Amino acid sequence: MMCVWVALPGNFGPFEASTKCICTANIHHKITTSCAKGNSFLDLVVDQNVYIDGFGACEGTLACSTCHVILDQKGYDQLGPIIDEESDMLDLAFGLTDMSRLGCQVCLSRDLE
Amino acid sequence: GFYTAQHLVKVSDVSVDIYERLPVPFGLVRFGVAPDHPEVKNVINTFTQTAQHARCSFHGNVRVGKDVTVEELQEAYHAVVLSYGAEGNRTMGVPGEDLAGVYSAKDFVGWYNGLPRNSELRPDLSCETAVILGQGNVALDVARILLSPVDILKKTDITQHALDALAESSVRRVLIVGRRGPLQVACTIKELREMVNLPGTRPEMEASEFEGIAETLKSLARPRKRLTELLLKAAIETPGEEELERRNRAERAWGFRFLRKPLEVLPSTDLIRAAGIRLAVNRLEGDGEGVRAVATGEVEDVECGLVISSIGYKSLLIDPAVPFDARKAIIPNTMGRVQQTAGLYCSGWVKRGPTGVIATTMNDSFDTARTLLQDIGKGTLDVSTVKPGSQGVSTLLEKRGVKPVSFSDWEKIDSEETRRGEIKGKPREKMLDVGEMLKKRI
Repeated sequence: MMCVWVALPGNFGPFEASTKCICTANIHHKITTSCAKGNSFLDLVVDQNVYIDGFGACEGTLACSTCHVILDQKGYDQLGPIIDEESDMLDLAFGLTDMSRLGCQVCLSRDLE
Repeated sequence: GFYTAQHLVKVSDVSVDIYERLPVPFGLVRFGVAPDHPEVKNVINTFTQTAQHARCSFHGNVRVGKDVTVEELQEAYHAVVLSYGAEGNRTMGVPGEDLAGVYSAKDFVGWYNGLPRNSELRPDLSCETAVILGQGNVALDVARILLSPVDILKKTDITQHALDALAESSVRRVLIVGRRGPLQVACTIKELREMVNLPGTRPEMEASEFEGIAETLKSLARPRKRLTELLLKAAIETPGEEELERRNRAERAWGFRFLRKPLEVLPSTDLIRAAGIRLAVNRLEGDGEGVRAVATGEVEDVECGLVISSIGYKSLLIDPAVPFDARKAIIPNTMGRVQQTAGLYCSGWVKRGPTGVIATTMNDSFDTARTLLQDIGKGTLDVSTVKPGSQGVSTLLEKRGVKPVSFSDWEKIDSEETRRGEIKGKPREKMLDVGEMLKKRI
């Protein structure tokens, strides 16, 4: 079970926040489904019809930072290496942390804990 | 506009009508985003879903402020949101700005992106050197379009006339000039990386302009640090063998020039066109966020035949009834509520100023939508009376001889543009003439 925090500014989920402070919000549904190996977190959000305002605006083409997610150490360490193009877009993400990745590049596979 | 509508429609049971001056929707996504950035335009898919939602409708070819006033809209609707962006530009305010060969980036971008009012621009690309003032992403887009191999551009939705002009272009060298230093460039790393990797081009910069920069790296926040590292690599690092060979083969060059401010565009001998630009040399004072450029008194002339000022877009007043801060060129507001005017809101560039990527403007639009919904919830926005909505507005428009374009009409235009593009291996060939677009109506 990978724990993923969707990180977007503004009100999302049960947390109130102004756009000035970092807001990390838990997604409404706890998704505990298995998904096709190789699908990304963005694919999962889309397939499961989870409505997150503005998530994945560029549809997974590394042209925005709206699918920004924050992982715990364990999850982060299990992911493959990050390429320059993803880092470039992450640089623009709201509330960037050391455990941040773009959800469209987070590949979920059965091997992941 | 579309993002504000999206939030309202998905998160509440509010109905939204979108009024747009042109027959075609999507604003900057169609006319601002560079042709070689098609992935950014994917947002059109979610905009389309919004427009097709039962509680949303699109009305193109309606000029707010001319065909219908903001006051008339406020009579017809419980709330009006102004998201009309920034259609003007900051001017350099220097002599020679009106010479042939001098353009605002706004017009140049409008020209290659098919904005009807820029279709006759016909920029002269017969010179060797182009100087761009400004170092933001728009400046880099312009540089990249000027220097990209035509084989790459011809597969994009760039307009045919721009493609033809660029195929004949003599421009071989583009200087991207800024008032301040390397640590103040406003562009982002993706766009810089695209320049560094642009086929057939090599970077050409003065090492002296980067003195002391490497030493600052360790104190920089990650985004600025990565950007500066890449800039240093392109500007002063000795390239490896392969890269050296690639640069030697490159026929086109680009480079940043820092600490330079335009004083005058110098005319040709016949006084008709630009032949050069006179730049004041600056030095920096202060540090961190407070860094300022100060004139040294020195001056430098650069020979060039094309000058493009990319120093900022600017919002304009749409209707005298709408409060407008002429100094900041935005609508005065508090969290999207227009000051001193109940029932009037704003979002996007006209609310915060003309900067930011899609994510910034998107989140800002959601903020305005939330503010509006909060006001309904609190009762400060009165929705108890029945309002005529688009029925009220159509009556006015009909009387004035204005025929709105529906979203289905746009879909016909869209199909036709796509069909014309397919023939040429392009995603679309945009219509440039409003009259032609209007003929496509059902």
